Amino acid sequence: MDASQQMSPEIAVEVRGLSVEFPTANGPARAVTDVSLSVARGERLAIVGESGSGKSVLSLALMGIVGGSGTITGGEVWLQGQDLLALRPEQLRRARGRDIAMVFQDPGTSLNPVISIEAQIVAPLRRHLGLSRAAARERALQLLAETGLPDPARTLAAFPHQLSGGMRQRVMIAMAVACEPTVLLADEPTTALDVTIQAQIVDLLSRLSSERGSAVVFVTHDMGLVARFADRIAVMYAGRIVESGPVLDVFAAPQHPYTRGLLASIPAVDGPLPDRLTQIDGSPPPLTELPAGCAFVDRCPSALPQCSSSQPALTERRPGQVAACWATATIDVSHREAVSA
Amino acid sequence: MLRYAGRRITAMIPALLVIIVLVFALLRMIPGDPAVFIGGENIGPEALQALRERLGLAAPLPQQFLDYLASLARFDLGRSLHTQLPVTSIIGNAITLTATIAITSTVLGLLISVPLGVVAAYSKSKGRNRGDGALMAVVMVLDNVPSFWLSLLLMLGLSYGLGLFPISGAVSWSDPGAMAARLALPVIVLAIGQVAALTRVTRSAVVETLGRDYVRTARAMGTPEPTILFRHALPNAALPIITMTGLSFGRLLAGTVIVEAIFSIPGIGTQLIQAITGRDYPVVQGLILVYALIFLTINVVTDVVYTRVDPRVRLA
Repeated sequence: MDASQQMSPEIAVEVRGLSVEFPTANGPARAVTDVSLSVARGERLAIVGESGSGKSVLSLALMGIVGGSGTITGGEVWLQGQDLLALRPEQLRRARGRDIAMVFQDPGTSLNPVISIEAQIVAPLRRHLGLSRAAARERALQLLAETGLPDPARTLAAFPHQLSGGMRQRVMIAMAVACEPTVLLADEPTTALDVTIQAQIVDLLSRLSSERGSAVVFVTHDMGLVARFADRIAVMYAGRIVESGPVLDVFAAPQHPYTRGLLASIPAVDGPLPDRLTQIDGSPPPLTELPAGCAFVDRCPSALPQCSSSQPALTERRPGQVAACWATATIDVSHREAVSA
Repeated sequence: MLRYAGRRITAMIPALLVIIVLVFALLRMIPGDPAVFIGGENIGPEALQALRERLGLAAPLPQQFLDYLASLARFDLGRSLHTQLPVTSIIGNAITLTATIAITSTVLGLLISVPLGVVAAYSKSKGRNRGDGALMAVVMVLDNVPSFWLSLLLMLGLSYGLGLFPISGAVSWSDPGAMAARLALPVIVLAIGQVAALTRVTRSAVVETLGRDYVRTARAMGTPEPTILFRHALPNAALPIITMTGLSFGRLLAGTVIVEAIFSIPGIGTQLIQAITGRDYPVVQGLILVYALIFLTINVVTDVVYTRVDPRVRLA
């Protein structure tokens, strides 16, 4: 699976050096720092990390959206031969919803309560694809049917408060895939839903995106979901990607101590339940006071003297797998042998 | 909906009863005898007594009150003590003028305030605090301009100075153009009186909705900014704006009394002042009852309008 994607690297979106800052009373909070990543067509990338690691901010910044008073301080987002962040606001607006679309976390608050579902789905179809009112309605009905909603016509006439959470998220997904975007972003699309609905929604997202060949960037902290859904994983810590690679490789041989901690904190389904779940001691540094070196140094079990003074770069550890860590870089060879043995 | 309105109207009855009793009692506590106003200072005691009997003011107060209630039950508001005209026809003639002024100035007020509030909110949400600050400063100045002073200023500038609007002369619907010119200044003054409160409410409500998730969704779907503001954010901010419009309509009615007097427009405000000065009990009672009815009706209308704007609001 990984090999085939290596062979057909038709890049859907490429991010270079993206940084986002929010002004605070204590100076700028660097929510995202120098993030680079690329996703191929049809590929699914999961971005994981704890709360506040910058994964949601990153996903929004991919479409040039930053909440509140934040600003994108640098970087490029290349999509279909153009840098989204260099576009004029009007061109960027046209790309949103058409070339790059997003499924949000909480379908209860992400749909407009005073606008009918029909108007909310039809508007982008008419705007981006130039469909007539009737054609857009027809398309909306078809999209809702594809999401498995039992009565698309009734759903279309409804207002968001008349639908359940799962139904709303299906509507949200129908909206997001409506214009067959090159890149589909999903920010914890199942967090606000019942566990029974979660699997259905993930399957739906996965089916609709692969039918349309969209690249999917998927933000979550649910490792189970990552294993089930994603091809590649990117681990974020304090605004940076600290490790990324094919999901199975990263799960089998995590190269960054933070990734190891993250994976170790998940209890195994089989085997005895531990008395206490493994946790990573301490907490991430405040985003206003990021250290010169690695942000994980204070919590790291294998920190070296150079870690606190010098920022480690992402280096390739195995084909397609990169990590930013001084400690594991030095024992790279032995580790690789241990893994392959 | 009809059942709801019916129930709300029934619920007005106790409030109206209280108002009827209070106005009846208060009016008669004001010093001054209507018979003296009508008969003149030099009227003799017998003639005065005869006049009082003819006007129905000689009977004991409880008797007068019961008679008043009985005629109210027949929807008869009585006749003016001075002109003997039926109170209903006095009110009927005057109220169309006042209603025209009040409704037009409310619409004008909304047409000014809502865009101002939306623009201020938008500037604020984009971090352009200077634009927001400037707008709100203008609004604060408007808020503190007394309506009588503004009326005089506009009269001086626009009527005497530029000769744009007549400030006296006949008020008649037979010439709509002249009527519009005649009512323009009072409408402008009253509209400006509404702008401050309505703009503030619009601004804060829109600022709040612009921070909501569904606005972010609209933006992520490539919705143009004007559509986001007026189609996505504003309807969600409508409830407080409607509430404030209702409240401010009440204040506006009070304002019409002053403005009608200044621009000598024979609306219900002017009638009320004349009736109070002449102790014309039936006319005052009738007018206050009408004011009370308008206030109470506005509340019901406000609630019904909610349901038209926000599908989540259901009347029970």
